[in-house]
Amino acid sequence: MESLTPRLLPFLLLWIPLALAGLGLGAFVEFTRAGDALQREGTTLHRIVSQRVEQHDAHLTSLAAVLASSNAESASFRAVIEAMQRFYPRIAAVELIETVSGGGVPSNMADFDPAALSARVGALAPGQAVTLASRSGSPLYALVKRVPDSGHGPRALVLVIDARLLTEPEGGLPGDAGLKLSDAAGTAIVQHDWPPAQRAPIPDLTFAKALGSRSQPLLLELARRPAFAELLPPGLLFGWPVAAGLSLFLLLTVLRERRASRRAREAVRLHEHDARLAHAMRVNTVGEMASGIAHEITQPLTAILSQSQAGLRLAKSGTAASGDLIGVLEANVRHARRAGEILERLRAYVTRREPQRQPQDLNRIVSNVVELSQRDLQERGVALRLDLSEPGPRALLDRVSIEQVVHNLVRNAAEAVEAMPAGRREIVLATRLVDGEAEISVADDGPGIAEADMARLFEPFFTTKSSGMGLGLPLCERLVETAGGRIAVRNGPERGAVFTVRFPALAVELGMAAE
Amino acid sequence: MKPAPRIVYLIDDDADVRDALVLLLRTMGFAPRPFAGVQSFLDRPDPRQDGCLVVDIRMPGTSGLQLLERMAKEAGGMPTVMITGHGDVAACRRAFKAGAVDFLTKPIDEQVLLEAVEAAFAALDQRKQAEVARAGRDARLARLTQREREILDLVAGGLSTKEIARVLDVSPRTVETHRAHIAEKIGAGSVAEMVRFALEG
Repeated sequence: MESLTPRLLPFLLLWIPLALAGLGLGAFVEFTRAGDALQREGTTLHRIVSQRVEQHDAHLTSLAAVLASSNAESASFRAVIEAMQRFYPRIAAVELIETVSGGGVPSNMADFDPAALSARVGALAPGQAVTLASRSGSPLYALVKRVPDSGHGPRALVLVIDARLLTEPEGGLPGDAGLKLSDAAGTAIVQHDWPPAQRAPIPDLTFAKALGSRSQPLLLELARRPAFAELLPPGLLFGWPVAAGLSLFLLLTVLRERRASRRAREAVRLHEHDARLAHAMRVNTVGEMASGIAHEITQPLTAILSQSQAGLRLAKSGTAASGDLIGVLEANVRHARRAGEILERLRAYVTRREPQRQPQDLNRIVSNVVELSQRDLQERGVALRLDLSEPGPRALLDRVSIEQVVHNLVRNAAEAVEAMPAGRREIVLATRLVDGEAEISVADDGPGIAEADMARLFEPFFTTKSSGMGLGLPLCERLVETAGGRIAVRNGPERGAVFTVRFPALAVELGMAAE
Repeated sequence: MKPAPRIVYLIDDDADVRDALVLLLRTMGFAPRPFAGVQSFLDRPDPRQDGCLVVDIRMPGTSGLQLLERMAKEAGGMPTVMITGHGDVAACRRAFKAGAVDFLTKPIDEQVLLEAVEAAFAALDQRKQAEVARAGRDARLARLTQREREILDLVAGGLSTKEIARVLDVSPRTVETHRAHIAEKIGAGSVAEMVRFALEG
């Protein structure tokens, strides 16, 4: 899971906004399209309804003409009305009312307020028509047209129209669209499926247009609330996120693969470089080492050869005391052993034998080294001071290689102080337990180490000595690190250099148990 | 009378090598004086230049090569045999340039060492003889007058008596007289000897 998280998180961060944006855009497009459809249907309906209401004006005009040539009771007038109602079912009633007759409103006009009707008729100029909504809320309205008086008082022709049939759609209008037809005063004559006024997350689609008729300035309104599924059809709702997710996944995968392959190429390049470097170094090291081996072995060989030839001369001369020859042979044995030791050390370096890590007392290592270096130090006129902590700190390490390291450090220190005035030819070898680490330090009173050389001191083939190979300290570092420790150098508080070698300290009882 | 000990100053930083060479040189009849480094050699209590040197080239502190080069600059250095653990051609060339008698690589065979040290002593003897000869010559030269030296130089330059007389604007007879005095003072029996004496200066 942990391995997935770093890949999953960027995916989610990209995918969720992308999916939401896509869905939002899709919903907006769908919403606009639904709005356009409603506008289109509304316009069509508006045209149809407008034509229909204009017919009413025409009917009234023709009725008025018939009425002018006959009277209300004439057969022809009745016939016209009958035909009109037969062809146009929306015309619920046709009446001729005379306001003077007072309360003479016919029974089929019961939906309308007689007083209001009378007032309207009275206010009309002859030939003028006006619309009156029903008072009962029924879907009827009256189209009232003043006709010339017959001498009894103001007369008017009234068409009672069923608005439901007027707006009857002839297909096309979405089933869930609400429809409202209201008069100029805003009173709804017909209203059905009107969306509730409450706030909805999706805004309503609306269409509103007044009819072009002067006598019937009705306002046609359409409204519908698009369904969620309409704006986000399942194809979009599920298809888009999946498609976006898949493409995003592919894109990220391709990018990651390219990055990985680039990194792999880089790694290969670096590795090749490393390998070349290591090889060059090995080749160099072999050369340097061969020269080093030759030099090291030369010394005891020279001693053996010269010593033996001197012994031979003594023996041949016949003047030699047996003590002289014994001394020669003993010296030869010592030199041969020394050569053997050198070879052993070199073999240890070359074969990289597995270090024999055992609990060791650092004080013992120090005293072994002191024994080894005693003569060399005396000859150089260098004094060695010991500052050992008791009991000796213990650590798990390979004694031979660490003795080699300390010996090397002591020799370096001796070379550093050799050229100093007598008072400064001192080396301090110390052991101590510090921060849970066992430490051996070699401090000298020499010139110290130049700041510029400090960083390169452990680099192979870096040397400040005229006759150095530059392998001593790198070898020390390797031996110490193989033993699980570390080596460090700093300049002393006043002068000289201090090399410290530290290993994880071994508790006393643990050391005993391991032993 | 026992001959004077032939002193060999041996400088090598390796104690084992030093001990062995000291023994070997002693069995060869030399009187070795070992030193662990150039500095202790220079600081020796009896700084006489009465022997020859066997020095290791590479040593901590001042190297044998540096010692040799320094002695070459100062007058009166001792004949020196260089020894080295490396067959280093560049060091070898430097050593000979600085006047080393021989250049030996370790391990050193006794015969080679013996020959080299003998050669060094031969060089030392030669140098001593040359010094003696020079001292005698200087003494003889000192006996000549200014005019006689002038004439000796002209004789060495290949001029005849007449030519010399013309150059110095004196009579040939006077020149002849001077030449006789010169031959007598420097002990030269012939013109050739006289010329050699003049040129050896």
